[in-house]
Amino acid sequence: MPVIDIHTHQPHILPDKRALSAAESVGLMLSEMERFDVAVSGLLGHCVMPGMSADEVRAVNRQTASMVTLEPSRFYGMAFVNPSLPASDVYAELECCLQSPHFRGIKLELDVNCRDSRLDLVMEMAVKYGVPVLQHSWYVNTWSLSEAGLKHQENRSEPHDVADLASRFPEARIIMAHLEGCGIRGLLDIATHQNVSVDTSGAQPFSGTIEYALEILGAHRILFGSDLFGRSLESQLGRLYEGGIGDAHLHRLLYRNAAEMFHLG
Amino acid sequence: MEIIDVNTAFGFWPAQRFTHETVESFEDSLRRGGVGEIWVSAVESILYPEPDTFDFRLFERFRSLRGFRPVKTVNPLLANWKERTAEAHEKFRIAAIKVFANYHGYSLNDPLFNQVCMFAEAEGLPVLIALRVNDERNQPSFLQVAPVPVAQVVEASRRFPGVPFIALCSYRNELPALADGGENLLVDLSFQDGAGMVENAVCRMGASRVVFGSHEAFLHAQAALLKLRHSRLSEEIRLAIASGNVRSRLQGRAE
Repeated sequence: MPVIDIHTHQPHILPDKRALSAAESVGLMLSEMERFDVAVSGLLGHCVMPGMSADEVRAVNRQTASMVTLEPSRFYGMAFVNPSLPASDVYAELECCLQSPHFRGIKLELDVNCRDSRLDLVMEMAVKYGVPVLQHSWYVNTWSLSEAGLKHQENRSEPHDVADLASRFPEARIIMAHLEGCGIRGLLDIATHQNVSVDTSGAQPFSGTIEYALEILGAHRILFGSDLFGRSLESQLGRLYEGGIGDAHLHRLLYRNAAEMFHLG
Repeated sequence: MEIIDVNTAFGFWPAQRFTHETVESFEDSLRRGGVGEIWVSAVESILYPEPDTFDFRLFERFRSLRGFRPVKTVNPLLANWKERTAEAHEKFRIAAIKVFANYHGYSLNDPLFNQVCMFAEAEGLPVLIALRVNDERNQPSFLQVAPVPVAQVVEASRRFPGVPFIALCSYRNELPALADGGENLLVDLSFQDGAGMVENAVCRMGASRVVFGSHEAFLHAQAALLKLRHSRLSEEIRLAIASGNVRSRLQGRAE
């Protein structure tokens, strides 16, 4: 069964810290994708550290664009922005990315909690260009974090924040990232917001969560995401292949919903 | 390929609704994946004040099922753990001892744990050390339990070189420290993740120190099966992980 993976962070450095070229990153991505019949991957960039400068944000998106240029039938990009930067920088970067056919959505990470009014510009541009916004989200136990981890997460968005964003921008399409991190409470937070979907990535493939998501949201609001390279296709597909999901629903989760959301072949 | 799953548990966990809640469904999920031998412990024995009630109930229930090997949860803080474990071994021929030091409230450096290791060595049983049962970031507010410190596992493996230990549910970033343990310290695949995770585990630990464990019913076993089947390792190494290491290093000791 073919797969569209909407949540990947392409590799950008090797263990010896050498930076990878776009062609090398493409090679590594395709090598993983081909083992599991992944037809297309959405590239989010290596954007997981909060507080990137405008130049760093540009570099992330240019690397994404370079990879899509090399294999446009296998990849599409998600424009990463840091809403804590001046609005002029955010606007310029989104204009640059979203006017390109290489980018089909916007990715938001841990820089600004999504209740913040600094997201208004981002959401207005998402609506203007008709693209979805993929928002990192997790109910994280702060006790389990180190001091550095707490600092890293201090502006995070939790599922109830995503629900607030969805109610402020009902015309926007939002994907709440990380099914497992959001958990049952997170699914209930967004259940009544029909403009919010969830991606299946996050944590280990704990049993029961995907089944609950199907009950609460329905198959049409769930999209497959692996969170490569931090996670693996093995662990993240295993969650779906064993969840007692029928073929029709599985096809929706693995392919059709993403194809419709991102206008892919 | 013969697969032995050293890390499964069956039963009820208050914070998770397992996909496989019946014996039939649980067994089917593993058999369909080609698992021939299933080491199973009782989920309830992690939280209930003594493990024997649910352990013995589980062992009776699975007794007639082909390929199931009982794993006895041991809490060395309980006065009767040794007698009850010996009784379980005599009645059911247990495959291993499993400890949850973080849930039961002791350190692996505690002399009480040495007693467990000495018992295991005398009986020729491996000791399965559950580092965690879930992701600490997602634990419910009423049940927040830190993982077992890897350093304690390493030290235990060095104190008891004659006891095979398997560190269950280790994270990828814990492997470098675990690799410093004795050659008798092995790891399972259940929580290994990230691209190339099995190859990484073999690189860090050596092929003879990695075994197959799924952590079903907490996790979907299919994930561990995909890890094994899709690894880019030689057939010889995959066979060693699937069952060879258990057969050659852990079994035949108690049988």
